Amino acid sequence: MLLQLRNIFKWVQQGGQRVFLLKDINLEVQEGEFISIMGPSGSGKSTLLNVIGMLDTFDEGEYDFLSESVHTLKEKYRSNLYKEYIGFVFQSYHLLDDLTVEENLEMPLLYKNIKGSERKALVADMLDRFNIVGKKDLFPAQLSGGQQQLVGVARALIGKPKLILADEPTGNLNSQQSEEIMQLFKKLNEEEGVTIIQVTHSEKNAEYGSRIINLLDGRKI
Amino acid sequence: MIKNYIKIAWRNLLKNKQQTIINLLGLTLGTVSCLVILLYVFAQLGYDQHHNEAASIYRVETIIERDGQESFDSATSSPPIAFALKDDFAEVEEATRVVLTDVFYSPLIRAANSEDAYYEPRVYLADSTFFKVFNFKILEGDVKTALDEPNAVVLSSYISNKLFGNSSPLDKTVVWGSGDDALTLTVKGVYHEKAYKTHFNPSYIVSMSTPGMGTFVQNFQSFATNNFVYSYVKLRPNSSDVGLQKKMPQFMEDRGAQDLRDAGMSNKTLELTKVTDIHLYSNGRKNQLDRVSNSTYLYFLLSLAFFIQLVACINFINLSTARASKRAREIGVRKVVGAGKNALMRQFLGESLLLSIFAMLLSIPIVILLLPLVNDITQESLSYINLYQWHIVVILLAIGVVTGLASGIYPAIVLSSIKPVKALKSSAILQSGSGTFRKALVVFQFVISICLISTVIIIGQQFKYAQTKDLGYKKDNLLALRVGTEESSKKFESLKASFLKVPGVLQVSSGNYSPSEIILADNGFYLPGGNKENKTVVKRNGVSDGYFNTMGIELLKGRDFSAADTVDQIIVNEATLKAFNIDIENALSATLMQSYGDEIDELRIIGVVKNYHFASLKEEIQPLFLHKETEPNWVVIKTKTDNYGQLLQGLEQQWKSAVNNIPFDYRFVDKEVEKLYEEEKRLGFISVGFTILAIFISCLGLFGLISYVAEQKKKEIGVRKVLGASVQSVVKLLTKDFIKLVLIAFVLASPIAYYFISRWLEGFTYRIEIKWWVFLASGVLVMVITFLTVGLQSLKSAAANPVKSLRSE
Ligand SMILES: Nc1ncnc2c1ncn2[C@@H]1O[C@H](COP(=O)(O)OP(=O)(O)OP(=O)(O)O)[C@@H](O)[C@H]1O
Ligand SMILES: [Mg+2]
Repeated sequence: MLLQLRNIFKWVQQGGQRVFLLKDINLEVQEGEFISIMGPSGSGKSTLLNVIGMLDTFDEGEYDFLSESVHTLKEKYRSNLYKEYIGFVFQSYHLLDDLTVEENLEMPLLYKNIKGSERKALVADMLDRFNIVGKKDLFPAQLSGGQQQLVGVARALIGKPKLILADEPTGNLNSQQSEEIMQLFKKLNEEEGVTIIQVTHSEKNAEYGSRIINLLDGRKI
Repeated sequence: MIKNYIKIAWRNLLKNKQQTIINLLGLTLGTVSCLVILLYVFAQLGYDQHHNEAASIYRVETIIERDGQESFDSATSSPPIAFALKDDFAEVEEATRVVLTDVFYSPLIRAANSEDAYYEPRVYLADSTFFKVFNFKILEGDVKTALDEPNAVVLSSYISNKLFGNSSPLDKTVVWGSGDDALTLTVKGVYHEKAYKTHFNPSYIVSMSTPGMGTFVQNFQSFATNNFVYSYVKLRPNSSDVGLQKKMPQFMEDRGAQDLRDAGMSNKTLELTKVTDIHLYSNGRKNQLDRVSNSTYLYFLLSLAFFIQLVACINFINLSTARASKRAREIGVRKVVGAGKNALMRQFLGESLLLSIFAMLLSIPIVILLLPLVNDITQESLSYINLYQWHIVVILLAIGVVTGLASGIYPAIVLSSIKPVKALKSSAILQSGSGTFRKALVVFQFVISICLISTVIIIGQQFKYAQTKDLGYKKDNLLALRVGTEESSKKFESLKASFLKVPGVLQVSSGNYSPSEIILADNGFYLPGGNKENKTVVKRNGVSDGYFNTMGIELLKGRDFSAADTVDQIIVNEATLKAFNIDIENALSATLMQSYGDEIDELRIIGVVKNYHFASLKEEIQPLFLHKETEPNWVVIKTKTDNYGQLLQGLEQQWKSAVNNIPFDYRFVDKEVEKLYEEEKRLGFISVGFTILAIFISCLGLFGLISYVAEQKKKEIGVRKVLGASVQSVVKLLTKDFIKLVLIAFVLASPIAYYFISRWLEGFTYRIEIKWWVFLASGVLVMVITFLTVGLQSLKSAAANPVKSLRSE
């Protein structure tokens, strides 16, 4: 088992009242699963994803990741944990505009203190695999949306994570580009056993996954 | 990793050009100020360290307590004291004395075989032990024995070159003085005058055993009077200076009790000052051998440098934190891909360090270019070589690093604490870094500016006051001409007659001192029937008749000197009357008594002059008496002309035809008076310069900040304008916060500035009053500067087309 959420609650105080963002979420994810989270806007999909990705905290409940209890971990260990095992892909790519494609890919490795020569090799590998060797010296602004997202996925993968969290990865792409990204996810999932959790609004994209989780008002239905 | 940080930092700096330029300019100017001031300060350190066992050499100084007045502290002491100390105390290994002869002899010198004579002031008489105690860089001769014989002289290489060119002067003869006074001296050595930093600055050194003043000093026995000798003692290794200091009162009691009573100086004590402390820490002592520095000024300069650098750091902090929301996404992304807080801190600190170290490197060539200007202002001879002293390099490096860290640490903390979940939300409006802290820093900058401006205004006012204050005499169009020798002194009456023939000369008279020259001579007086052991010291000057008229000094009572007067008739100033409690109405019937042992003289007051400032305005006007002098040292000439060239030429012609081979050495009295305030002038100049710099750097920061605020509010401004807001109201929206900050700063700065300025003014006996409007004016000035900086920038954004800024969203 990769991770398990038990009775997760998350709320914010508003006007002296608790507004629940997540209510009693229970979720078990096995390694190698491909899960799609769906639900109307504002139902808490991104919030859930961020909690799973340890970017956000929760107020109640328990969270185990690879048999570590995340809710008791100190911030520092938590960040080591996600640095090691989790990769993120965003709807708006979030590549750094000042860095070239190559440098964007290299960045996660820098923070993992991987040696220069090894970094070079890993980046070259990734560029090769995604067929973007020719683009390595370009800046994000010089790429199409699909290409940018390709780089985004590559960046998420380069640290060899066990889990990829993708928040509407195709939200800004046209259907052909979406298709490509989804195929890529599927391949990664099937051939390399990477666990994927994606948020999507599209039924079609959701079909790529092996399981669909529906959210409504912060609650799993 | 480091390479990557630098690469990213570099790109970031390039990307935000305006911010980078503002920061770089500020930090560079700050570092340049620090470096210049450090160079100057270091040049003032380490004086007299080069002597063998410098730490055990002391100058014996004189403290005379005066009832109800500030004590009189002099760097000098009575002639027999130095060697008596050596005789009496085992811990004194050697003693030596120096006499500055300039006030006794005219410093006229020529090679014996030449007629070309030069006035070269700063002539020392020194004991044969002088070179055994003090080290000079000797170019020729054996100085250990050079001063053993009478009529021996050791020349500085400067004088040696002037008199003998490149040939060796050893055993050649020079003539010192002229006429009947002239002495023939044999050159026994040459030293390099600029080899070491030392409080000695002689043109040449004559052996003490030379007949005249030297032998007078050698034979003089009183421990009380003639306090004009610089006495030095060298202690044996491991002996205690504190211990010796404690024995001083007993020593004076044993050796000089009778002398002190006879001279009426029973409250005279001795104090030992380390020679290594003379240059920096003996400023309170009067009668210094040469210009000394003042540690207070150095602290003042250092704090100026500190504040300027601080202002630059504040700019960096403000601009970096203000821009934090722009970088929020970058930070969010970095965190998501695995950057820890520490890694991000390192990155941001790297950016500020890169900038500050770059500024540090830039400052070096800039300072080298500025050195001539710095030397001009400070009268130092700093060169780029001074830059390569290891401690300067180390401190400069430290400044670079500390500046980088100090300005980088807060932004680094703020930026690295940004939460990625928030930062990555596309619509997030980020309140990063507390705006209050930024405001506090801006207020702090304003406080510094207001303090500096008001300080500068008051320094300027005080300086102007000193220059225009009624000195009690008319310094304008007044010329002082050095008589120089006894021979020419005797010719005063005929000189006067011939000078009066020169067109433009109104009046001619004479005195023993040039106006504004420090008067060293004094006599102790007591009232008839009074106690002769309790004398009051009165300064002394000898003048010709007509002196008061020429000088424009008001005679309040009695008459000027006449031909029949002798030295027993005196004219006194008001301060003297006050010191003896004599009513001005009875002054002309009063007499003053003086005594030497059993000999008693009674001097009759024939006139009273209004108090005039014969010394610097820093000192209170002291009691002064004037007697008739027929062989004066200076001719004082009142002139009225449009053509000084012609007038001077005329005077010189008359001079040349009256005396032989004596240089025509004149000065304008108003210029000399100005020289009394050179230190203040320098200080004023420096503070104005740095103040402008500090304000400029603050303005840069404000400019950056307001551009940023304007950019941030672009959308708001656009919306408002679409809804019909006027340009004025938009400007107001942007500027009102800053104006509020200036007001707060004004309230804070005024008392702080008041405190420091009044402390500074306390150093002047005659000083201006601090006016409240100075602070108001400074506040208003800062307000205006702020409004211009901020206002112009916001006007620009207010005038921008709103449709454009809304569309780009
Ligand atoms: N810090 C916060 N304070 C208050 N409410 C919040 C906060 N963060 C999120 N919410 C609310 O929580 C709810 C869930 O937000 P979330 O971003 O998870 O929705 P989502 O399902 O991802 O929606 P979308 O499909 O539009 O991206 C929303 O109603 C949002 O307004
Ligand atoms: Mg969402």
